[in-house]
Amino acid sequence: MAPVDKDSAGLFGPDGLAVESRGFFADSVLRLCANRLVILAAVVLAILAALALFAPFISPYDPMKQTLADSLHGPGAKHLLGTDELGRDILSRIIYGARISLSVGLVSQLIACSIGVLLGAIAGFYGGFADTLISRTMEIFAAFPELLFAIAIMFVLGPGVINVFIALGLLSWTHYARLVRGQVMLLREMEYAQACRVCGGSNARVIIRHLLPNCFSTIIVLVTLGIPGAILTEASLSYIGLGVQPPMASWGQMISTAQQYVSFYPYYSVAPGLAIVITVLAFNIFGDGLRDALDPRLRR
Amino acid sequence: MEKMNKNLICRISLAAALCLCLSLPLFAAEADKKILRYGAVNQKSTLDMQLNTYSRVMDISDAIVEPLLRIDEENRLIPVLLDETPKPSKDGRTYRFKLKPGIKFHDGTTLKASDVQYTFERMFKPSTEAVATYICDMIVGAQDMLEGNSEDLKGFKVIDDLTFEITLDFPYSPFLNAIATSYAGIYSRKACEAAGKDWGLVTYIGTGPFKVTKMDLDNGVVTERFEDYHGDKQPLDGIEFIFIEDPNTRRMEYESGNIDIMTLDAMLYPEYSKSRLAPEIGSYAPIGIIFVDPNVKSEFLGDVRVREAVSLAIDRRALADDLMKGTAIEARSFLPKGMVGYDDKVAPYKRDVERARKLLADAGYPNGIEVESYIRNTAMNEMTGRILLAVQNQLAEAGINIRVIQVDPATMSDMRSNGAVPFEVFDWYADFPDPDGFLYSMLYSVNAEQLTSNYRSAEFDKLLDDARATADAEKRAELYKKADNMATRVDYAAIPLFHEKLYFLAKPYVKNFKMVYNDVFHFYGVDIDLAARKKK
Amino acid sequence: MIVYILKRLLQTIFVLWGASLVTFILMNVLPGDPVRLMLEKRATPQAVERIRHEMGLDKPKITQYLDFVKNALKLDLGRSYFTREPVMTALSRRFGVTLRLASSAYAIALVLGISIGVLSALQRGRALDSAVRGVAVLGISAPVFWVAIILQMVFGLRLGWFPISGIRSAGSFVLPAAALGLRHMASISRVTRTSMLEVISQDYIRTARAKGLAENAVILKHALKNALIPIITLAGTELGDLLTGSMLTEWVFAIPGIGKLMVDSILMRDLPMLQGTVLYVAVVFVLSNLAVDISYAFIDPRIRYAKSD
Repeated sequence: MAPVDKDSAGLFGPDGLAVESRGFFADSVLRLCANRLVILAAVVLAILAALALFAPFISPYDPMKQTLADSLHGPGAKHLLGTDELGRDILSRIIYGARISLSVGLVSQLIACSIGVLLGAIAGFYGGFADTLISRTMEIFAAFPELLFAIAIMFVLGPGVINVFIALGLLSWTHYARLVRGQVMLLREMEYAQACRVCGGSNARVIIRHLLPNCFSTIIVLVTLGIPGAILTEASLSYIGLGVQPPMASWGQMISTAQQYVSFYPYYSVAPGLAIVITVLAFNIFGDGLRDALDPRLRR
Repeated sequence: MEKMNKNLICRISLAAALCLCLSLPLFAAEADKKILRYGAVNQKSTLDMQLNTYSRVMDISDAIVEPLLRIDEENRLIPVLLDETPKPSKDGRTYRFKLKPGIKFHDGTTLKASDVQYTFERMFKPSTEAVATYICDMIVGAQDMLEGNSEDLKGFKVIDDLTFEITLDFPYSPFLNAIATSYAGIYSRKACEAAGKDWGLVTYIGTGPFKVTKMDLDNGVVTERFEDYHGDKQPLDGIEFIFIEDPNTRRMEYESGNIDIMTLDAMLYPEYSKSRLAPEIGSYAPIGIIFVDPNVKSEFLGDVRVREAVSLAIDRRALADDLMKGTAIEARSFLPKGMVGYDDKVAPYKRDVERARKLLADAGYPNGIEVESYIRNTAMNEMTGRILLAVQNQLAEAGINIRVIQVDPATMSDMRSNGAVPFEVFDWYADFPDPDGFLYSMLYSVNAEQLTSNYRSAEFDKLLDDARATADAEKRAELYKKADNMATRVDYAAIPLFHEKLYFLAKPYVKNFKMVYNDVFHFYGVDIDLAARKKK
Repeated sequence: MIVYILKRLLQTIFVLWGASLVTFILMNVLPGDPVRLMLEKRATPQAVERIRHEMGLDKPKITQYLDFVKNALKLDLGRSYFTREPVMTALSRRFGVTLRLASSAYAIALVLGISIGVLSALQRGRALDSAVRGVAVLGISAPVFWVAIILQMVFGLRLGWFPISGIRSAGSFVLPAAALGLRHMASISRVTRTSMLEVISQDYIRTARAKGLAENAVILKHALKNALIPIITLAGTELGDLLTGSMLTEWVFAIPGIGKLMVDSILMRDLPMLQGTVLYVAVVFVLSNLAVDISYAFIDPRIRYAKSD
């Protein structure tokens, strides 16, 4: 489900020379800052992070406070975005929802990335049996219904927000593994890797010192672009009721509830939907910008 | 550049054309016929009512297959395939039935007593895997068959082609009500045997007013009027049961006029009652109850004081008025008003948070408790979910903290039967209008064990056993009054919340539609005003 | 290469077997008994036991799995626990629907995605480029179920242009295909743009222009042709994705496709039906992956699939 960027699928590597230098990153940051849209995305992300961190101070109401007699009021002075079917303040719930979405994105991608990079590097570098085994496992995983895995993992770990993070992390490692495998396969044939091996460098040294740093920009970009994917998957899981548990606020769950009232209170559906779109959009633009900045091919 | 844009447009329109070709119509609608389009829920089930228990499948099955009798909208028994409603023998154990002569199945064969015998025997044959056998497993020999010890139903005697007798193990007074449910729809022996495993999937034949012309587990069932129907000629030319999974989508289809009738979730009634669709809303009071089912074997709720505290901490008035926006009736007992055994002298429940706190403290929890409540993920957006969240909020004020956990339906049913659910908001609609379908089905020890409450009280069970076998209506009512009071006000094994009203949407041109007691849509005598429909 | 392909196809059997085994184990480890679910609130211990016995669910697990494998080799996947329908029948019917939805969505994604990508690359840095890229990013940023609801609201209910749900008429596939196609269009247009940018700065394009060829000819014959390879690679994966069904789109639009079938069978613990869908998805996935891997070899001869692989 994650909109993984498939075009850097190990087709083209960095130039291969002196990639790991200060100049590269400094240059990248400069390039990143040159793009106004990317700056805007970064600002949006910073605001979202602040909202999530300081939710208790920012949100106007307690997101769980029900006022049954006050349910389904439209936007107004008292409730800026109106109230939901149990009379809870929608704005406050959206602000608290940011906590879930952002942490889901970060934590799950870190988990996925660690597993994926390790296995992908092994498969790509050693080839042969290791590659076959890992690749086929990847296929079994990827061919497998995400939902079944999610239910299974949640069952083993028990319900809880943290476990949603872990489940999502375990679901998406194959994206990382596939890309890292492709890139490592390509890089290991490069002169400098060959040279290191000829000079007696161990396999681990070749992987850690030479191959992974060269995949670094790809991985960073993948993480940035994987986060919105995880946010969307969490929203989907919560939408069908298998994600975050009520009464905790989650954007996906809000959409699914709001959908019932779509004919009468369309803005109720629109608000959490827009929250997701804005967050995911900001991550995507930022990730795109990051890729452009880090990708030497586009550096002319 | 310009040339390329043209090229693009060409290609896009080509693609659009391709899309259209790929999606050829499956159903063709006819405008001049009186076809009722019912927005149905796809339960992903065979239509065979011996193999499922879904009300939404009954909607379809009841148009095609008929039981011997039917219960009308005033809860009276009406003979359908019979000459008249039979009377029990003096000992209350034997019934003699006489079929109306000349009743035809959709395949042209005539209904005989042997078809009825076949239907009942099929229900009890283990290889059928029938699920609703409990409604009439008190027929002599039924248990033997279910256990695989016998091939025939001893209590069923065929006298001649049109006459047969059924004998029961004990005088079970709601027996006729029980076999008037959809579970006991009469099948044609010949057709059913020929269809084998495809019965209810590919072939489904009955004596009903409509016969199947097209059925598909994914899209729905199309029926047309059965011209040789034994009863009154039906005004409708046919009914299309159109499966639409998502309730919101279904409502949109209704609003845009693509379906004529559908259920409306009670939670949405307030909004709809304020909209332009208000005149199209119909309501009915199903015989049912929404209640909190506390697990009497769980950690905190095992203490009757804690259960009473839960009952005291709930504000039923707020639930009925604010949450349900006045569409529900506060419950005073398990049995709804009008049911045999309903006690109209019982006072309404009063909320008393202070006393609830005191009871908790007495039970040894002065700082409150935390109890887990499980709910099906699919029910979270339905009424049950809303009620649970509102109850959770009310109980928190008394220091009873409910932790809501959503699980998928399969896990839920498993946890229930393992007694692993400490607290649940439950809804129940009786299979037939009799207190037995309420108290026995929900709270009798054997059944309660499989649900949530794990309630087991020899005294309560005895009351129900006695009531089951009592023919005298007044004595029966007394027994049920006692049993109800015991479960809900002494042992707090069930904490009634309210009796709900249910709603449906029907276009103004749909005439004569009435709901019956059990939340099943029946379309006997329903008509469509074609002129009014065309105007739309 | 042929040896490699044959080998991969052989490994497919391993993947299928693995998927079916994992499914079997997971479904048996997970709580949830289909029989209890079937009986719901009316389950008595006797009834549960009787039906489990009739369905063969009380046999040892290993026997159950071996029976499944034996029958599966004969292409008999059994009957659904709930609908009682043969799994093969359900799968083939659902496949037809998914195929129609997937091909409509795919047509939208490919045609729009490639043309938008090309336009955007040619206009690099200008307003059109930004606008087009904006739309593309938006496409992958919106939750598909939310887009679906909005499309239904606007084009189905308010404007009444297209059917809201179901597959009953010709136009029924327009909205779901749009909801689904949008997201795939977005990623295809991104790849196209990148790839085109890569190609148009190459020497042979400059040569072609220098020869005085018309701009259209340069773009279509030379640039796009060479930029197509990574696009095809992606397109293969995307087709695989689409063919395995989209549960949420199918859910909202009430389309009986593979995606919903799978989710339903998971939630209902309908093991035979789930095995069927998992095997189907695995086949589609493995084949599309194989196609992508083979195209890697064509793109970059440095990637070799040696015999040892």
